[in-house]
Amino acid sequence: MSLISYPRTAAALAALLKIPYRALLDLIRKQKVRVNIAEFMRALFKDQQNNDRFVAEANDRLMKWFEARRAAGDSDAAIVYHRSGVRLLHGFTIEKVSYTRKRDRNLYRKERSEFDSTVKGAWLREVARTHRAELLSAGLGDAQVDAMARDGKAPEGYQVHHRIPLDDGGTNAPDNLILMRNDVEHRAIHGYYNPGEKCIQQMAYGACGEVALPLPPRDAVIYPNPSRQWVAERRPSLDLYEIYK
Amino acid sequence: MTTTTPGIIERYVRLMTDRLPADLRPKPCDTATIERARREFRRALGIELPDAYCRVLVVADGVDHNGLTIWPVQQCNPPFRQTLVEANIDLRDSFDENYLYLAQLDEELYVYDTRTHEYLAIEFVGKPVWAKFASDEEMFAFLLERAWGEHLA
Ligand SMILES: [Zn+2]
Repeated sequence: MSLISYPRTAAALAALLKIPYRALLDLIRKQKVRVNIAEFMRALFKDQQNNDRFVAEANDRLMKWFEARRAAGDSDAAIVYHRSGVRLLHGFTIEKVSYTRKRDRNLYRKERSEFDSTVKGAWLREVARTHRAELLSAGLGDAQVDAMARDGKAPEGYQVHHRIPLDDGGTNAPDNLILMRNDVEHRAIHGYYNPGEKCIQQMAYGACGEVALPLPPRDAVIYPNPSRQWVAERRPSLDLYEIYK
Repeated sequence: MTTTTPGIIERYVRLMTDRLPADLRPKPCDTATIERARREFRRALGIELPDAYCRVLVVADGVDHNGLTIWPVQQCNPPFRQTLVEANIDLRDSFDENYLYLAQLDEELYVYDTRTHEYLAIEFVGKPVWAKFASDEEMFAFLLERAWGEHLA
């Protein structure tokens, strides 16, 4: 009979992380150790807080993960963290984006402010007129698309996402915007454990660097869209742990 | 000191609620429900639920309008996918544990910074602070007007 351990406390997880990382993943794979994803990620990031290369290496590994997927002939997808479990966002790509954090904070604030006052409404009206079939195929109703075209407002349960963030070279241009369902899909592409965003957060204003960002399907105006198999799929947490170290 | 028009929060929330299809329209919360929400919020997050949030609840248990989400405190029925406490636990885990999350508008988060005791508008990516507010009331009036798209006198 083999013993299974369930480390839950910060101290127990910190002790666990003293095991060489690959060997530890092996124990998890063989279910000799079971960890909660949120507790494990928190402990791992704490353990690595003084490792200057940790975030950059996670970016590289995420990029390689995506390239390997393409090389194997798999359809495009991005792997993302969520505390309820790892997801594959089908249809997403992971791209190496040359990121410059806007030094001009007044420009950033102006763009942020203009987004809601003018840009967003105009984009939503336009999309409702030009992409009606796509919006319906993603699950919106006729009345919702009519309301979008009339009022220029996002439908219930959706948010407008900037593909390349506004804080970077991202702009309010129409091709930088997409409707995302206000659920795990949108929550998971942002956040603390996303290697690209982690990297951005550590950058000074005006600084630049290359980051691996999950980007929605290029020609889509809405995500998810089951009619194109662009949906979030649950994956084992190990798939994500592999990327971090 | 506050410069917001009396009743403005309630007026925006009513307009937004009335615009939802009847089957998705959140109900108002009664006094007992709001008191329970205050207790649960304090217990789960260690901080008082701001009064402006309770003013929203008096009109509707949650707001979903034009990319704006103010989370409900009771069960989570469509169009909502999380309650206020659930959203805070989620965002504290995956975003930043130093904030209380009071509303989200597209990629903007409206938060209370537990370190500086400020009400702030921040963005998901890179967490830049792009607006600061003198009070919870001022922040809610701002974000509601922004989502509604016009200023109510
Ligand atoms: Zn977004």
